[in-house]
Amino acid sequence: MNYLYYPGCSLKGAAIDYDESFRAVASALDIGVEEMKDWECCGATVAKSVDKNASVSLPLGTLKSAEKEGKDLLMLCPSCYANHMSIKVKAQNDSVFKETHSLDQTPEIKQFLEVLAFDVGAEKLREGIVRSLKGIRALTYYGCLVARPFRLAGTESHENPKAMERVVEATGAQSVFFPYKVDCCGGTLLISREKVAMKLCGNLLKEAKKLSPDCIVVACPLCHFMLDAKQRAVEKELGEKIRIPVLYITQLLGIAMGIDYKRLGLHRLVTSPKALLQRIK
Amino acid sequence: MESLLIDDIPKYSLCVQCGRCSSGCPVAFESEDTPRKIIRFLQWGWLKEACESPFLWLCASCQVCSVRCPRGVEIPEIMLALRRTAQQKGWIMAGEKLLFYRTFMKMVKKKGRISELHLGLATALGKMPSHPVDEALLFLKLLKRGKIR
Repeated sequence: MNYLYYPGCSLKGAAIDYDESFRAVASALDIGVEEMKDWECCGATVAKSVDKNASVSLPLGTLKSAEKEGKDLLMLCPSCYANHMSIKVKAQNDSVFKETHSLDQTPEIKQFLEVLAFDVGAEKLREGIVRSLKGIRALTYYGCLVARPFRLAGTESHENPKAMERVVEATGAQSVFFPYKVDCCGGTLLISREKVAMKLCGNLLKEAKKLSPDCIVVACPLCHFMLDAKQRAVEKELGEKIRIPVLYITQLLGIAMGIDYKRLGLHRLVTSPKALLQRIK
Repeated sequence: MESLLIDDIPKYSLCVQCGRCSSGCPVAFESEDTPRKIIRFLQWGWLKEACESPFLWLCASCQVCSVRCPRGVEIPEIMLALRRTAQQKGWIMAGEKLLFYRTFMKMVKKKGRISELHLGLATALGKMPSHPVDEALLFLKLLKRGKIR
């Protein structure tokens, strides 16, 4: 497996730990990753709100360079993924669009979660586990865009996807079913509508706490920022302590694969994972 | 009545007003209008009312409505198209400054990428943060952990 990796702005900033843990895990699994040079922001939901042309041209540029290199694209940020996928789908269904933007063939685009859960698969993942996470209860949370509007691997349910559970269970940990697993964390509204964002995130953390998981596992930089970095602020608004560590799926898997904590960026978490790590031998 | 000449407001006429979009909408609690209502405005030709609704700027594009819609209406795309229309026509809801959106796009055009630090700072200067001390503390924590650079 060889991919052209499109990091996106978050993976170079607040989600640097997602980038680090992904690279560590990919290299341990022999997944070839070449970082795209000169990538540009995908426009998030902002370009689509104010500048239609930019919302097309930004992802299109990425698709064209991948096409030129003849490689499939790998993304970790589901927001980047959804933006690129919608242009790809548009090109597939609209021959005029495809012609005017001179796309010959559109490359495959994958989220790393899909690669782990479906291409590598639970069985192969299990072979690489050296530090079983047996006894750890990990709550899987997808948020909006990981499983919507594009189905994971083209087949997973929008309302109850299972890709993360496959990975979690391969580590030996128990996955905790979260009824709110595909609800919005509010991250995209954090700057423009802070109160609403905090309320959405507060609801999630409050409900998660009731299930007393050892950690929450996510696959989105914005979900991670809201649930991890904003957890103190949420506690203040709720008037109750939450203190649940929030790990990227790659970090949890990396721990089970025996990868050094520092290489997984665990020291960068705002909500300390110390209690969780002490329970893992 | 304003005619709906806007090129890219998608497929609102398919909507049968069942309300599934609005029952699942995570931000509907914050607004008097719901996605269903905005689409009804469009069906009636009330473009201005739709554009001026505070709901437009609340939508998180979480896609829960679009995957549940039995008629395949891409509701978030409609909200985004209305945001653009509102700007073209100057029908922006009172008090909506679009500072975040403008700062973001300026940054993309200049550097091709976003720096979360600069985006946060630039927009923080435009409004008083609700918990300045906590925000400053979080800023230091993120800095110490190498999450902002």
